[in-house]
Amino acid sequence: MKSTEQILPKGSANEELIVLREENERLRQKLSVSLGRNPQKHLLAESEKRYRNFIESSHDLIQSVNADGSFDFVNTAWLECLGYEEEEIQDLNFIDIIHESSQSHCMSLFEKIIMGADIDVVEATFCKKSGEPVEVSGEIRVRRVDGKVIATHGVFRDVTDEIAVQEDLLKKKLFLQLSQEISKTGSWRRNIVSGDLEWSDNYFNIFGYDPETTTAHLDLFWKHVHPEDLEVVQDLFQRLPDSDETLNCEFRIIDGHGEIKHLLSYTLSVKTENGGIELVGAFLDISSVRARDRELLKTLHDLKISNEELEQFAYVASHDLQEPIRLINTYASMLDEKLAGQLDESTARYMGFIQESSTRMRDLVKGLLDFSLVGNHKMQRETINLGELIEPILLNFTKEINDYNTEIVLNDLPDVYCDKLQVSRLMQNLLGNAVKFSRNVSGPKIVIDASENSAEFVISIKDNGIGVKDENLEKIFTIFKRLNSKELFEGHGLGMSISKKIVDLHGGKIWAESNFGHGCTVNFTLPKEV
Amino acid sequence: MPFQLLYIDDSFADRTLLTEIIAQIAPEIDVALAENGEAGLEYLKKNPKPSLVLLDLNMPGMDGFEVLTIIKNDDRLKSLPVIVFSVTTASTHINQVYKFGANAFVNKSLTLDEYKSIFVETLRFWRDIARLPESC
Repeated sequence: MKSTEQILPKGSANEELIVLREENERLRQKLSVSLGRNPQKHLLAESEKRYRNFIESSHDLIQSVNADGSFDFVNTAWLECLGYEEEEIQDLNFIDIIHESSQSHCMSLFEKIIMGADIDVVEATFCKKSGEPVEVSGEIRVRRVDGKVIATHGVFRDVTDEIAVQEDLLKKKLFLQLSQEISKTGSWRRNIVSGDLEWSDNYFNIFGYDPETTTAHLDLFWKHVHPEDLEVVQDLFQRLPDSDETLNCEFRIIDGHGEIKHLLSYTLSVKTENGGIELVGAFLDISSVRARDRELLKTLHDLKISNEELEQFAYVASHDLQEPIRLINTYASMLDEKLAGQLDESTARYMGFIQESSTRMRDLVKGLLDFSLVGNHKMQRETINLGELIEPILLNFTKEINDYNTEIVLNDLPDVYCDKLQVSRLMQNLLGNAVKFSRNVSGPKIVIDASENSAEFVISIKDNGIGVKDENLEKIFTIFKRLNSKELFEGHGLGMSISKKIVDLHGGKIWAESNFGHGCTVNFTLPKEV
Repeated sequence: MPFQLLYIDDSFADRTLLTEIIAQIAPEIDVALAENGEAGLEYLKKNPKPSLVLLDLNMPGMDGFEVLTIIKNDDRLKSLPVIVFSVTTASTHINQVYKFGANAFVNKSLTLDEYKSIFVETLRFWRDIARLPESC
């Protein structure tokens, strides 16, 4: 200003100049006041402050990465999450924060982004300073100048926990699926109000459909219910919404492949929070169990028939055999009489063999017939006093008892639940044996005793006769060993086998104890009435 | 009139056996034999008054039950004493035999000695002890 003052002359032109000068001065001062020292920078600073606050207060990881991979900027959340101090950033490269498991993935992503690809969501695994992995999900934007990439801006969210939850959920889902597969179970739920219907994967499988490609639908269920079971199932579903208890039923389906399956179904109706009703259910595929049942039933049936046939055979065989045996027997005796005295020694011996054998055959066949007849009639059980049952039987042996002078001791005998006819037969056999085998002893004595435990009565008949050899103690009860041994047979006949059969039919056990030469005790059990 | 026994049985062996035994123990008794139900009834048409009828059950054609029924329903024959003589031991059969009106049931499964002693007893009862219906 000073130079201009010196050059220009005084006069009216000077006075105008001075006015202009002063005006200029005033404007300048005004301008400098209104704009401040760095006016744009001031606004910028305000704006920057606002954005900076926003970025620093965000929980997301925000970063700006230069083209060479060095960090231009990272926010507080970034530093806290990855465990770095601000000073350490300048020495870091982007690669350093990427977990090795994610590196190749991130590299290829980075290349794509540089090439201009529009990537919506970036998922990667970052790496904390400690080495611990952090699952992140976010986006990256590229900043170009003159077409050249100079920086990338990234905003990421730490989704480690979310991912953990998802993985856990997936594991649980797979676990459920697997357990349903191995147990052949299917489950479902249906919201009555919203109609929302869900089937487990194995539900689809059991019905013969692919869970990936099929949608659960009520019609699809009803379509496969076996027509004969439709009513039962319909009735259940009618009652279900109002029922407080689990409603179960068994029904058949014809699955998507046309196969019939047996399902055991459990259903429950549950009240939901907003007052609605949800039906829940699970079913077991018990087709193999039912198939096994059918097989068992068939086997039972076959066995029953086979048994009946065998019994019939035994009866017919022994019955029809008796005729010719009887005639052989009697005519052998007749011959013997007629030729008495006329036969030489050897011929007489032959006659003897014939008679002996035919007699033995007769007894064998009769015994077999008796054995086969035991249990022919349906068992009629009643409660009777064993003592009262035995008395008339003992009377049958009056003659022998008197002849041999046998002492009979009858201890307190209980009331037993049994078939009267069969047990009478049993006692007849056992008493008969006891009487027979003690006859040659001096002072023959028979003791009949009883004891009990919670489940059964134990009856014993003890004699002081010749007894039974140890090796024969079991044999006397078995029918075939009996028949083969002449010695055993003549001793006990089939009486013991018949006795065993009777005891077996009652569900009891029979066994003998003996001190050979001094006596024998036959014991048997009779289960108590349940 | 001599005591007459009519034995109806399809088994030749059994008929021979009985004849032999009676010959031994009571040779004075007259034994008539019939080889089946029809033959037995034929005989009875002509000779309606045997002292005792011995009847087997198990016969082809007309079985013992049928013969028994016919005899017991025929006015001329119903008072004849009939003993059913059979191998069966089934109580159902035995009960039926009595229901149909037989006078007794005797089991045929006997040894020779048993045969003899039983017949001695039987004949003693029916010939010597019981009074038989008079001939009409």
